[in-house]
Amino acid sequence: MILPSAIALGREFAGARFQIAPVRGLSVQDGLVIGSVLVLIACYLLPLGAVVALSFLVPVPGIGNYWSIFQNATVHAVVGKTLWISSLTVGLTLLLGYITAYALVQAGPVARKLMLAGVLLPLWISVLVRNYAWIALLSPGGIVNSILIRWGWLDQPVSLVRNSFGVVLGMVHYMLPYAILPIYAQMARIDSTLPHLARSLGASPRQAFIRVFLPLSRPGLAAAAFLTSIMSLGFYLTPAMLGGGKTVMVAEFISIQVTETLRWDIATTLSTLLLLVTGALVWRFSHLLELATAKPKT
Amino acid sequence: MSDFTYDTGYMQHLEQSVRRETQGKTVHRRRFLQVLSALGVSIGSLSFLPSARAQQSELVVANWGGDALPAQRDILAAEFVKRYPQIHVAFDTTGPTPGKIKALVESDNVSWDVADRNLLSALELGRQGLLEKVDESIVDINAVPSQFRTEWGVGSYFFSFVITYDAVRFGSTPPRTWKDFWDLQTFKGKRALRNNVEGVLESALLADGVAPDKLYPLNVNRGLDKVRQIKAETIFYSNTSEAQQLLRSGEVSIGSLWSTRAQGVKEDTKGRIDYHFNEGILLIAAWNVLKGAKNVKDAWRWVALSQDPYLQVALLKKLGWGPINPAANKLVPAELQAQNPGSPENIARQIVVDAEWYARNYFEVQNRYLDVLAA
Amino acid sequence: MSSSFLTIDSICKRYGLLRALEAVSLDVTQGEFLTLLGPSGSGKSTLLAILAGFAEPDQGIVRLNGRDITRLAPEARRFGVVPQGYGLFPHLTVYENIAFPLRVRRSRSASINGRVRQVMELLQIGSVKSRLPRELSGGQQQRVALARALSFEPDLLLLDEPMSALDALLRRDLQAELVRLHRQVGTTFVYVTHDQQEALALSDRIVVLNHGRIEQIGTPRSIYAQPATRFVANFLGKNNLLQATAAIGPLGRLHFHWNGHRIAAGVTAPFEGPCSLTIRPEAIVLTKVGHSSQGTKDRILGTVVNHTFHGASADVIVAVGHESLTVTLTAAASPPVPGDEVWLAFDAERLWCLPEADTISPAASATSPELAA
Ligand SMILES: Nc1ncnc2c1ncn2[C@@H]1O[C@H](COP(=O)(O)OP(=O)(O)O)[C@@H](O)[C@H]1O
Ligand SMILES: [Mg+2]
Repeated sequence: MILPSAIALGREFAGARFQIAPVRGLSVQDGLVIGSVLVLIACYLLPLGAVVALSFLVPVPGIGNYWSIFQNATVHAVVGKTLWISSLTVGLTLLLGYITAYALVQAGPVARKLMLAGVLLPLWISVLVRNYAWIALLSPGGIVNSILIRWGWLDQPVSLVRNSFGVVLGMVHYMLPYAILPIYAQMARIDSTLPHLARSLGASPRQAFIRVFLPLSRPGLAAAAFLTSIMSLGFYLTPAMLGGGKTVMVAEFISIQVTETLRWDIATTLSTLLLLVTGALVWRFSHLLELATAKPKT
Repeated sequence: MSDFTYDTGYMQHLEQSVRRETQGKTVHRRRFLQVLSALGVSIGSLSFLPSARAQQSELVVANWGGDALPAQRDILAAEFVKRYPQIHVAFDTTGPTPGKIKALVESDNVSWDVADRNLLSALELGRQGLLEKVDESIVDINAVPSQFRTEWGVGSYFFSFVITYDAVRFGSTPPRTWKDFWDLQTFKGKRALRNNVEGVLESALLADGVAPDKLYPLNVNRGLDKVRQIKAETIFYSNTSEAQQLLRSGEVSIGSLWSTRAQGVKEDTKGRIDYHFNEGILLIAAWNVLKGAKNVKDAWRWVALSQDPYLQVALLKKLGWGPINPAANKLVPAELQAQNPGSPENIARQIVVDAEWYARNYFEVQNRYLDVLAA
Repeated sequence: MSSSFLTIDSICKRYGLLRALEAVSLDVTQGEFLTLLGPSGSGKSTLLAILAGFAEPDQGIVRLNGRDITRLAPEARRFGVVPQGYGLFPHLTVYENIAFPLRVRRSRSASINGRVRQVMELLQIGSVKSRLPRELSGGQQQRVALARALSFEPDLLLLDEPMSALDALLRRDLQAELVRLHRQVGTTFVYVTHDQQEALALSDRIVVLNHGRIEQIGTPRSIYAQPATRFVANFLGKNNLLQATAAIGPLGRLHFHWNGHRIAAGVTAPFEGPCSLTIRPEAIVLTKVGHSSQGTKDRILGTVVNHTFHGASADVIVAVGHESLTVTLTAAASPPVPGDEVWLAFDAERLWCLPEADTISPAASATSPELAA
């Protein structure tokens, strides 16, 4: 079921441009696609399957792990923190992403190219490097604090990292491109005369935005919300590095249960639940991805 | 690189441990196979990753990297190869966490022989059947006092959590005790504590006025309450180089650091950051030999070698590891005694961690500690 | 004349080096159907955008009832706009599209409902009120766009090529409907098109634009009969432009010399000398040689070179010397075929002449008998 559709999908990407002669019923692309699907299974599906299986098997077979995890106060706290930080970061990312995407569609062609490069560039920088950069910039002895103190805007350095603020900042920065791109793609498809027209029909600039532009850009916003929500649930390095040890999110908690406290029952059960939640989100909202990556209508 | 870098080895170990656990008494192997095949997993594919482990004549030592690698290589490994020329010593510096040890042991392919851990871990992991028992035909267990050894490990050196502080900032009245550490009014600035509970509860309880000889069994609730008091002003570090950096940059004014690393910052900053052993929380390092290791015999030879008094002094010089073999103490030069966590004067000022208590409570208490941090 | 309803005064608009509008001045009378006619790129949409408030002119003033509205926000103008491609809001139903201008004005919902029903009835689109724009045919979308622009009873309706996307048949229906609508609602229409047929059929007055300049303003009939420029003469309908010389006879009567022939004109002389003589193809009478002559004095002999059948009419190309003329015939029983010798006679009343240089405006229009008609 998965394999044929994956091959079909792969064909769409690979075969669209180059038509390679088929070799005994299987084209070269098919071979490549089957190969990568096998690698995918080996690298992802098998270990994931093992994790899921373990959650039902240790320390005793059954669903006891799930039962006890729902009663575990620490897990509640960690999940609650994760949800809170995630919603905060997703909300902020969408807001900033929307503004940036709007600036992108309004910009001239040259400015737009430069801005897009600025949006995409961080994707090539390791999250580790980015987190260290944030620390260098924002810690009490960091560049931002020194400047603010020198200019007399601050008496005492303020803590901008190693707290929830730092975590949110790092996460928002990481996720912004993933929000900007689908929103921008959708905005670019909107007939640019419609907001004008709305005004000629009596709408104020605000009304034109709220009643026309915003609803028309909503599919992009939904796709961005979907992408960033899924991503935010799995953040690990950023909370660990920028949270000062006080922002323990699910991924880090799982890692601690695996490496330090050896509670693999908790770790695998929580992993399975996380997998389930993200899987359900993907299942429910995957149509949004098509929408966001579709080419603008001409 | 994404934020979602998982330890790839860990996944492999999980599979292997599934295999092991299901062959044991608790789980029906056949049923597990059914589950796996329902998931589309074939058992043969579980061991598709090549083994990192080499030939029989190799001893694999797992340590924490950093300064420890060159020191162990130049002092211990060099001597080991001299004594056993047919053996090649290899180091793995990815960090011997309990999770990795468990994963390795529960697989059929234990790629480490001996791991740089501590006495608490020897008890904790040993009782779970993850470690080999000390081979007394190779290791002289009487080389260390009896309270510094267990069935699964013999103490190899002392190290301790010490109060490390900004000497310039506090001048002539530096923080002397954990009470001072907790006193945010008198001693301004942020604090740094490890995000691992070992040693933290002792510090907290001492700060709360518990007498040193009444610490154990630890009053966990009281200790955690005390941690909550300074939580807002504390950064909980996960690795010690982070804590060193926090002190170096002035972001933190007092931290609880391993003495070995505190000495490092002190030298880096030419004494601007200083530390002392007063109320230090003394821990005992111990080599853990993994159950079912390929080279158990050589692993115990390695342990025996590390008890050599001369090598112990060399390691004190290089890494600040406090010699645990009383025979070594007489060899320590006077100028090194101040930074020796195991010198008689320093031991007298410190609290020795009760490994037995942690072995019984660590997993639960660690999660409660996390709970406090994350709340 | 009292101050007009909408005054456009010396509007200039440039896009970089391109002059989209150059000193455009125009008065729009209350209640009229005014058409901006011109080829693609002549600046029609630009002018409309300035009227709607979507763009600001570089120079010039727009006045509404004497008040300067050049920089007034679009929503403060009360002008309905039907843009090229209709501009329906794709996320709103027909009903909501039409209600949009009323909702943003925060009208009471009862009055919204009544008004929307009214315009839906006016445009006969009540049956599709719950559909989304993409579920409508082109003609229906067109009507919805009209209904939406009219729903708030604007002072002026601006329409930008509203028919250009429709097929010919539908276009004819909608043209008739538009005229009816204009009469019914009484709103001033400013209508943009590049289709001269449409302009002639619909308008009270036509403004011909070319390269951002106004070529001529007038009623459809006057523009058709007395084009002010060669461009207008060619752009509206078929026309014959002949290189001729105007001369005034002893009685003060005007005649032309063309191609060795003397052609009498039915008007008095505006000027003498070289000019472009225009004669519409349907104003030429064609008789086969050998048939009884129609008795016209000034006859010109020619040879048929081509014949194109159009149904109700046919176009015949006739060679006269080195030049050729187009003649439109209405259903002839035995049409001439190529090679036939024919007599051509010009309707003297429908001759028109333009001076050689387009810059001189012909005084002829002032003395034209057509104007009285
Ligand atoms: N926003 C713009 N930027 C640059 N050039 C424009 C713009 N809008 C119109 N033009 C140019 O101005 C001229 C007039 O355009 P327009 O008013 O749309 O013509 P029409 O509607 O008569 O076809 C055209 O040459 C067009 O290319
Ligand atoms: Mg146009």
